[in-house]
Amino acid sequence: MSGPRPWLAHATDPLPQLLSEHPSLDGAGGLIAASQVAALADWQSIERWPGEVSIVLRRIGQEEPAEWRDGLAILLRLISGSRKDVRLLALNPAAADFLARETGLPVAALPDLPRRYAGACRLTLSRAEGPLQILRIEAGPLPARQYNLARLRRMAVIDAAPGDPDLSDLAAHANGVAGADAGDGARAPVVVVVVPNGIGLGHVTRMLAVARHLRQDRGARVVFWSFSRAAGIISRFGFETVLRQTAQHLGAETGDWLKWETEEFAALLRGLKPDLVVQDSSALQRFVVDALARPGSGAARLALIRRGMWQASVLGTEALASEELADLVLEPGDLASEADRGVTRGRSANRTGFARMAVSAPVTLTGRDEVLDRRSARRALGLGRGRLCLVSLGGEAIGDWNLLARNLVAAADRARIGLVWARSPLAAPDPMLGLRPDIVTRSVYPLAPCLAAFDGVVSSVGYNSFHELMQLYDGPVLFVPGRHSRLDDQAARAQFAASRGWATHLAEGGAQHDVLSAFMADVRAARRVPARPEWRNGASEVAGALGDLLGAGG
Amino acid sequence: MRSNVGAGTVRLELVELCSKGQLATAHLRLLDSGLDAVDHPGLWEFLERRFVEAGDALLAHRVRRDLLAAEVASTDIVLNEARYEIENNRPGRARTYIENAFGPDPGNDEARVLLGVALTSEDKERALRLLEGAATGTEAATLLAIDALRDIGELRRARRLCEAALERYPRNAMFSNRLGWIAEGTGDFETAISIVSTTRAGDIEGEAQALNRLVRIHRRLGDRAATIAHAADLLRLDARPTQKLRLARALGQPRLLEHLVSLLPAQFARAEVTGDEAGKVIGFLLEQGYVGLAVFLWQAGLPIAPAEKLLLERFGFGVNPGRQLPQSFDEALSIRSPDILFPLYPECAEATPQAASAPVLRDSDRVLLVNSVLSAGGAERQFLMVARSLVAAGLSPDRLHAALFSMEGDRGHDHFEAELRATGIHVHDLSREDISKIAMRDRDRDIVAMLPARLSTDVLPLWRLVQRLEPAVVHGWQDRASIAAGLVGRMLEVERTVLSVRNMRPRKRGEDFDWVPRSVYRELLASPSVAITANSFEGARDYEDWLGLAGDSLSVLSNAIDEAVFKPRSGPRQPGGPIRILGVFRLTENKRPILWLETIAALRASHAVEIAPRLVGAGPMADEVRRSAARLGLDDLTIEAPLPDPSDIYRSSDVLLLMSSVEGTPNVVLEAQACGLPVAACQVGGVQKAMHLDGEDAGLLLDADVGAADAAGAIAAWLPEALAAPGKARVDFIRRNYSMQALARNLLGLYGART
Repeated sequence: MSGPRPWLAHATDPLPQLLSEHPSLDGAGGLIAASQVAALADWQSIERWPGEVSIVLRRIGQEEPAEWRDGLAILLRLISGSRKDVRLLALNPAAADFLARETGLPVAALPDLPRRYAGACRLTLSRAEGPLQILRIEAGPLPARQYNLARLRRMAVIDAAPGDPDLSDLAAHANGVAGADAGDGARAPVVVVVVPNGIGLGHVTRMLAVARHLRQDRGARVVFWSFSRAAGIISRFGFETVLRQTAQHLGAETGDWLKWETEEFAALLRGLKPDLVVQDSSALQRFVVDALARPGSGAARLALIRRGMWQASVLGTEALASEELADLVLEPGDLASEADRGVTRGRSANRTGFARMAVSAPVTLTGRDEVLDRRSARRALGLGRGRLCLVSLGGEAIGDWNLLARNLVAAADRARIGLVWARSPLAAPDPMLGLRPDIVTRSVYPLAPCLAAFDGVVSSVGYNSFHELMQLYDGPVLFVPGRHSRLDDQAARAQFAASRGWATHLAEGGAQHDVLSAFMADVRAARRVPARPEWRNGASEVAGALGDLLGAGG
Repeated sequence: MRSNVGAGTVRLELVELCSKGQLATAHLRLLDSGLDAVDHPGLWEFLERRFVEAGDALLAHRVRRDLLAAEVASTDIVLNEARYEIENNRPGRARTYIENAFGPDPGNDEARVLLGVALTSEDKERALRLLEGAATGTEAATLLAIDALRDIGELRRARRLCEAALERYPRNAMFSNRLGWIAEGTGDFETAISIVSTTRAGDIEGEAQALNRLVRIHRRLGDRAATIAHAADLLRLDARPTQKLRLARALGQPRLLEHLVSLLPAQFARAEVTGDEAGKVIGFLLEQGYVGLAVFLWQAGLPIAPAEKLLLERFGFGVNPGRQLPQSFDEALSIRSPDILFPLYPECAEATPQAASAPVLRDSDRVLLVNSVLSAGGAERQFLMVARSLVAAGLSPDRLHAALFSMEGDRGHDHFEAELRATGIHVHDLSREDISKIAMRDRDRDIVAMLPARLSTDVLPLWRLVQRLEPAVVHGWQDRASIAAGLVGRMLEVERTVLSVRNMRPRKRGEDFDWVPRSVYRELLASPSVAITANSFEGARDYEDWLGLAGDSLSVLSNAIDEAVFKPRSGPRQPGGPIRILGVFRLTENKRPILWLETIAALRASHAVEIAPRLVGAGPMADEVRRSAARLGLDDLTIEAPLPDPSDIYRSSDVLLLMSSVEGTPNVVLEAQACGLPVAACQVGGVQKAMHLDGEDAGLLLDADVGAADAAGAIAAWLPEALAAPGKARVDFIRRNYSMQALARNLLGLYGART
């Protein structure tokens, strides 16, 4: 029999989270009961198990003394009346001695785990109130069920609240011993990237940028768990992709979907045993947290990449509560951060005791050295001569889209400028655009390397478009803020860019004619805008911070 | 359309249809034939017999109903229908059928028994008279009679009937099963164990049931080794989950219970657990108050009974939940009844701020005292003292009511009944309350339905009584009665509720699933109309600690000793003769009767003290005590059952010895000192406070974990002076601190009486 060793354990017992850390136990084919209660509850499974069976005897925890004593006595009676050869284990030598005295049977200590953290950070676990909690001095306790003990032991030295000998044993076991057999075969770091189903390609683009650096700089194997339709694009970049469906896509009941998604993601984690899980989203999704806490999911660290510039109308910090569960919250820098009016602005690091927070330079998929010159770009896009303006409004909802399109076409016609309509690779064919055979469309991903092909750009103000245009393009830009996004304050970005003279913008409800005419005149004149910020490699910074997490251990 | 054919043809058709198992079709065929019961009763009776043989009780009942309506029913038909109605909890109908057919005093043995069974809840005396002859009835009627006698607490009659039936039907396991239950109920544990042990050799289900009973009995007896052995045997079986859950409950293993529940979704998915069983598990969990675990299983796809589903939905656990559903097992575990029911009426708390204090007790107001039983225990004796002291203080007995959940004599629940009635107050047996007549708002009905089963069983009859009496004060005594009285008082807006807990938190007295009283007390204490008392300072602090309350949340209501009963003997013991060492306690594990015996034996063996040992008490360890006494050579030990008037016991003794591991304020220590006796006792709970410890009359405090040899040494050294002392200081100590006047004064203060 091969494969990971199955265990019997109480649903709230954290020990199984550590068992897969044991090189001598994981995959050895035996059955482990993680406590005497687990063995009592499922004695039939022990009797029927064809191979080796181990029972980890536990010292008293939150039970009443009589409950603990009787439970152990019943187990001994079961063992003595069974032909099954059962190996008794304990969490450490002292516990083994104690339990051997109590039972009158040989009890071996589990092998020590290698120490994974050597820093100064400490945390205290307690079961005094029932469920396992992480006690904090300056804030209320955190429910520990959201953490995997294998992960916690890489984040801090674990203490147990007094009066719970079993929890003390667990904490000591989790802390490990310096020099114990690590059993780690050399392997490349494994990173799982979770990409939600956002509007457009924003999340995918940002994570592709980071993933490329993780692969290139750290030699990491990166696997995408993607709810975006952009799986093909991800694959083109050479990354493994698991395409997922949201509850909405499936028309499933959210609770049921969550259960299945948790199961599926946990299965992936069991198989890959990643070193790091990264989600690019406004909040960690519950299935990610739940699956990571499952026994056997390994010890992956958890990072959240969450951009700022949330709309001011999003009130309260409830949406950000899940950040507390991450080890690292990375905010990709925003050139317009001075105009940030959302709840994430100035959100400080270390408020939970675990999650660090960092802000990088703006992240773009395309680097400065990947930008093509005008001739190469036009060739790459199959575009001829003449003044050309790119219209890239993505999947954004923009007020009266038809009116804007008509005005754009009219202004371009008046200025004798050809329009090239960028279409998202994920978008369905647009019948309206098809009515005008003279309208040129291009569906290229990524488009940023080819920006030099254009004499001007009309664009929405999503994170990626904004930073690509402001850092990699020097022609006239007209921003048209989208309002589809619940969180992204595109209007603030556009206004900020306008205030700095980096671009003009079309305010919602404002008169379009004059703005479009002035913009098209700039395009006609092939005006350059030299004052825009220098490109910085934010993706590399993010990958560096994530890479540091891979090797973190105090 | 009816077809008019001959009876013979129809009969042949009916035979054929019945032989094919098409019973409903056969019934329809007869109805359609036009051959009615008036003219063709034989045909209808034929069909009824076929239905009975086929086990279709409902169709048989329908046919009998037509025969009865046509007034052509034979004796057998009447008896069958009466039996059916009794089995379906409609004794009134059964009574009508029998009395119509056989008269009020049937000569037919079977009819007598069935009429007796039908009358048990209505006219006990007549029922008992009719059931006298049940031993000669049919198997089915005898079983019904036995169950009826058990239901009304006539266990000894039931036992005699059962034993007689077993002589006639020795192979009928239902009689031996019942005999086991009855023996257990009357405290004859050896017989119960013996009978249950013989029923183990059946199928897995029967064996699991028997093992569960053996575990429960042995745990009650304090026989840990046997408890462990039987528990292991059950866990080894491939028994139904409900059997194992019951085991975990009986063993006091909540974590095992939780673990068994967590296994169920996977077991159900693998078809190892049937839908029927899954439904039973959910029902069991709701009975125990594990609402979150029940919801957890329901969410996991296990089937749930429609009534339970509707109830959960009304509490917001439905498809469109009104409350947060458990997202993890941890969360599910934390959702329990009665916690989720509190605050009981949040809308009222917001709308009308509660008065700062309850109103003054008016001269016409009634006071209702509630306790679970009147068995021979210290707490029950103090319940009696409450009634006595209130009457002695001038409260009219007519205004005073006492309610008991059970007063079954055969279970020993009536030990103080005569004395309580002698006070002149009204005494109510709550088991006789007709709960079908309860008027309740829908919301209250839901609340009661969602309570753990044990609690709702207590709440319903008490609700009915409080509705009838409309007392101004409800006073609950001990935890069981207190939480029921507290809830009823709160829900029916009784002006004052006093809850008198005893001496230590429930967990210390072996109640493993103690969240129910904890939750109720915490809810009730938020109300200014509720006061909770303990009978000692230590007890009050222990409860406060358990409930997470600030100090002085509970007040102390000290025990009282009736000076008229416990009179001091005249002077110290005269020298000469053996020292009469007395033990008065219930024969249970926490009283450590075996240590008591070993101490006596050590005193006699190592210190050459001439002793006449005497034990007064009963309890599950009685047989073990007798065996141990024989083992220790204490052949002269006398063991007596508790007496209604124990004062004589003290006057004919020289010293009281108490070796309990757990005590609150032990009555026997107070009573013995009131009679002038010296007392030696282990220093546990409120023992130290209850003992006079100064001067030559001082009692002896032994270490809580003292062994027999050390105890004997200390007693031997203390005894001569203690026996020679006059004893007056002991008597004064009790009169000063534990008088009935002080008790009455405190009670009336709690009830809001004007001083």
